[in-house]
Amino acid sequence: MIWVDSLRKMGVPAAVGAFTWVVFVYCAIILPSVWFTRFFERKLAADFQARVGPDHAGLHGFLQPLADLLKQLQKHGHLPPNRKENAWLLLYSVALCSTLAVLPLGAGLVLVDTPTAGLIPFWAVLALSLGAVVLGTGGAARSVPAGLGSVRVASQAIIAALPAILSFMCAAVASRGFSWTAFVGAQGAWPGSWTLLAGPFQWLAFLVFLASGLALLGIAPFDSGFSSDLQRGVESNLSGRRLALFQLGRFYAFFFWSLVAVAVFLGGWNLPAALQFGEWTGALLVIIKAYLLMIGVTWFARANPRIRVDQTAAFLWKVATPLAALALLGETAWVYLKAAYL
Amino acid sequence: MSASALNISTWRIGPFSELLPGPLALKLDLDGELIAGAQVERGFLHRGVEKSFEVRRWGAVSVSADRVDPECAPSYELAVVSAVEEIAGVTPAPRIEAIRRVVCELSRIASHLLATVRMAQAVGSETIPHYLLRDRERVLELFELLVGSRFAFNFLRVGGVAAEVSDGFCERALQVCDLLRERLREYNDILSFNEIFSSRTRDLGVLSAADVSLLGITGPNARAAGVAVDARRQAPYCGYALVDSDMAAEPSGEALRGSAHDRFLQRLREIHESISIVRESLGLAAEAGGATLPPVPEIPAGECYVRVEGPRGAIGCYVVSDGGEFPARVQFVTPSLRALAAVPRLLRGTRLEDLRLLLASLDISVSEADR
Repeated sequence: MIWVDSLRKMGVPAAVGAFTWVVFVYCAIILPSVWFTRFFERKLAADFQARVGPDHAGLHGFLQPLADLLKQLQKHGHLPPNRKENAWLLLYSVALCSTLAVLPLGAGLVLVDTPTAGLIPFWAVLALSLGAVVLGTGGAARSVPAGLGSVRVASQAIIAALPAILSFMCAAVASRGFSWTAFVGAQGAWPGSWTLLAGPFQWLAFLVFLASGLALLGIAPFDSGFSSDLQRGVESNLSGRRLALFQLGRFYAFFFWSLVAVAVFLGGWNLPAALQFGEWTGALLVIIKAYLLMIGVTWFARANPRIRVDQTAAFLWKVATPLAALALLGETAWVYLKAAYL
Repeated sequence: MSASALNISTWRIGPFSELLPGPLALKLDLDGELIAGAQVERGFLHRGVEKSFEVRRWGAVSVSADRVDPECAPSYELAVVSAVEEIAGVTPAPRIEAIRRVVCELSRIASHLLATVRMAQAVGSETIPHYLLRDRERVLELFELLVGSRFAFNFLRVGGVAAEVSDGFCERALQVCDLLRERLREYNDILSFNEIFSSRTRDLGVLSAADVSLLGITGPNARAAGVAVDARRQAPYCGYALVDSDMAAEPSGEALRGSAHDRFLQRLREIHESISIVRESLGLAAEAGGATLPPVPEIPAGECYVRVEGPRGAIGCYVVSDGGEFPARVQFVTPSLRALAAVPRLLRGTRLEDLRLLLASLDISVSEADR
């Protein structure tokens, strides 16, 4: 971990170094990412939808996400403050942000890279669905939409966890380990050497991983827990700063899942030898790939209608899970046979 | 969490909610995500429009008629104006009738497009509504060119229309018709053949032909259930007898079941028919002369009931005259009220997520139901 090491040389304790890293990543990577992706997504959506999109704040509306945030921060909550809700929101955000420690940005830029580090993202997901349930039912308990929305989030998360884990294990079979360095080390710079194309089954695992991850996190197109038929569902009780914090958390979860998908399936931070200019170029590559993946997902979500929560559940149980299991078995057999006979 | 704090078994929605087509209140009994029972409470948008006819002179009936349902104002204007003409014994010229047909059919197109927009919004689509609204805008621009306004028309008069057809209107109307023909194909691609959309609508809110007859439902909702009722064909008015479009003819091929998808497809088909009617009537409307503001005729004592086919179904209009300067009584039969009666039985057993979609597929206008 180059950040902590270089600070240690200056006499800063490792714990403080790690803390500054987390703060740095949040401020220098996550928050600007919200800004950029929100802006590009809105401009792209405006293009699809034959309209102009944001164009008042800044050049071509580039400052619009900032303006939105500032507006939200000024807003007064439409419901009286609720201590429980605040506590849960804080807990939820802290739990989610704790995964910053395992953000797979580069070989020397991961704070925690233990042999099971790759399993930690599921913690983020757990935090999100648990937080949503608690915000919708326990903490707020003030409306039917929020309650039903949180139940949808929770049920979707429970169902989606199985295909997500199965497809993740499928990738782990190819890379022989659950650490970030193992996942990325098993791949090369060019798409032909990515895990996505490593065996005959990995692309299937990738698709299932992406879809079930979105369902786990309640991200569009699987966002029925937050859909308009429930008046924004879980979010319906939140407004102003709380809503901003919660939406930031949801965005972060989406970004994080895309980063993980990039690290596990799409070549991670591997660059061709001619383009390697240190750790940061690799980190930039991972982030750009994650943006592109996010934009692709949002594109699909914007262009298509939403499926119902029971259709999501049926899809996850009847399509995604068998496919993930097939991919896992097939990949295992493929790796075994390749080692034995080729 | 106490049971009373989060009572998931009942949910009262409305009168103001984005789930509803307008100010309504729904009391839902929920069984998890399933709707076990529903009660509709209405009347929140009652403005006394029918009474307002009685304080306006005969020449101004269109002003009140516009207010019944702004989305299909010409149909209401036509209903009340035809009834008054019947009492006064006035027969409008064929060209006037052609102009009226053009306006009514264009408003039918705009209304059906808006209904489709609501369905697309109800399935959570963000992009498709923009395309539909963009094309509806072309139709509204035509109205602006002809009448000067996009909604409150105030265009039809007893015995005629308020003004001569604007220059260039007929040419632009033809262009819009051609554009919409092309766009209908596009809507088919992005909605009818979209697996997500059809999987959500094809088994939703099946309104059987028996229910249609029982509740007296008319319009596209009835025709999508296979009940071919259409005042334009069964009791032609306003020169519709001369038009040879196959209004409300049963579509060949697949059987109609009255599902939300059938209603959606029916509206697209009707847009197609309306385009044909507009094209056919434009030829006559484009001729010169005759469409100047007519003087208000003497209205003798009498009464008349007229039925016209609005975008949402049969509009009945009953006008009573006592021979004075003002109408003695004007009453409407509105199709949305009938459709609203089907809501409780259709909602039973539906999933909560489909509530908005189901209501959108029935194309209920609370404005005309409550009037």
